[in-house]
Amino acid sequence: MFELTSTYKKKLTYNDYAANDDGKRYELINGELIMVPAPSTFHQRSHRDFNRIIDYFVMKNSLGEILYAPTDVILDDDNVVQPDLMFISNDNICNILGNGYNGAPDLVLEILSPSSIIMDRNIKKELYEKHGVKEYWLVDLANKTVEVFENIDGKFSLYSYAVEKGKLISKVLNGFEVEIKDILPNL
Amino acid sequence: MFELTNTYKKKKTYSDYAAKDDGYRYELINGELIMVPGPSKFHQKSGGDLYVSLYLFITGNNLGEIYYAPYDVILDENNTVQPDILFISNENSLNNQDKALYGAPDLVVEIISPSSVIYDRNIKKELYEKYGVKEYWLVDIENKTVEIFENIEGKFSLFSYAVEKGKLTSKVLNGFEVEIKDILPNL
Repeated sequence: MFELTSTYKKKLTYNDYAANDDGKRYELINGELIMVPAPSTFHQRSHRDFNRIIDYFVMKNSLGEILYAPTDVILDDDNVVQPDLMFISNDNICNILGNGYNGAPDLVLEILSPSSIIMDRNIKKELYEKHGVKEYWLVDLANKTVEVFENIDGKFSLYSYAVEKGKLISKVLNGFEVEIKDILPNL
Repeated sequence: MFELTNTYKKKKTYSDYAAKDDGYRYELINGELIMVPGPSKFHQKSGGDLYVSLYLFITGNNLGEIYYAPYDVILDENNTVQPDILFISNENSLNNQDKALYGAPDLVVEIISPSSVIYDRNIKKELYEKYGVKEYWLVDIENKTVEIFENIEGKFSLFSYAVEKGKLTSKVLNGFEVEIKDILPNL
């Protein structure tokens, strides 16, 4: 269970994160190691379907690269996350190093599950906002909803969404559109 | 479908809202009339159970009034909402008129369903933030999660939460606690 304020506990850093070898998956968030539970099959299907669609678009238009979990995104020394999927534009490819991506990806997608919702909707969302992720996609499987946010002066603002039906559009990937039913496995 | 930017369309006001008599329930949000669909049985059970817990605490301690939807909360000329549950402290009671509360309730609970998630988590949340709701409860039935935010200088900050199990506490209602399984119908 993570603590929302960690004033008295020594903050862990990237080195502590990298040294962890108990076989479990973690993220480092505000200096704390948070275990990442294994995803459900709904999560995996949604991930697979979205990846297929967005990867093709990015590749066909030579816009950059798509990487997905469990690739490390080193936001700063206290924060290392593994977004479900991310887009890195051509200009930012130089930030892809051997150990992960250094800095904020241009676009991040998180697929929500009960175990991740607190993080994805609050803490990680604020981290992405603050570090300059330009576009944030949230796929809420249980509520059959997708929300797309653009970063305006360090704050995410909702600009595209769909509930059970409808199209989602990207600003960062100009011209990219996807039908919600193509990425929600239970629709 | 509501438009996120409303520059060219004339914004509706409380009078337009009050004049609606087609039998459907509406809310007025940023000058647009948004229809509120009928709630699910889970929504009603969850809301009912939480209302009872809050009611007992609030009336037992003489803290103020607690209402359930539909009760009008007039935040400004272009925004009239009907929170699922609202608490009006004794200090705030002067703003509670015959047919509406003028201004922000001290505490608001919204029970999320697929049809309301976009509003509850984004647009209405920002309205409540801006107008000074002190504490905001989000009950996400499908994700089996409850999140509680406190208002710190016009921004909601998560301070209590539970996923499937655990206790939730209130700051506005000092001493109030509830187990998440007592308010989520499908647990």
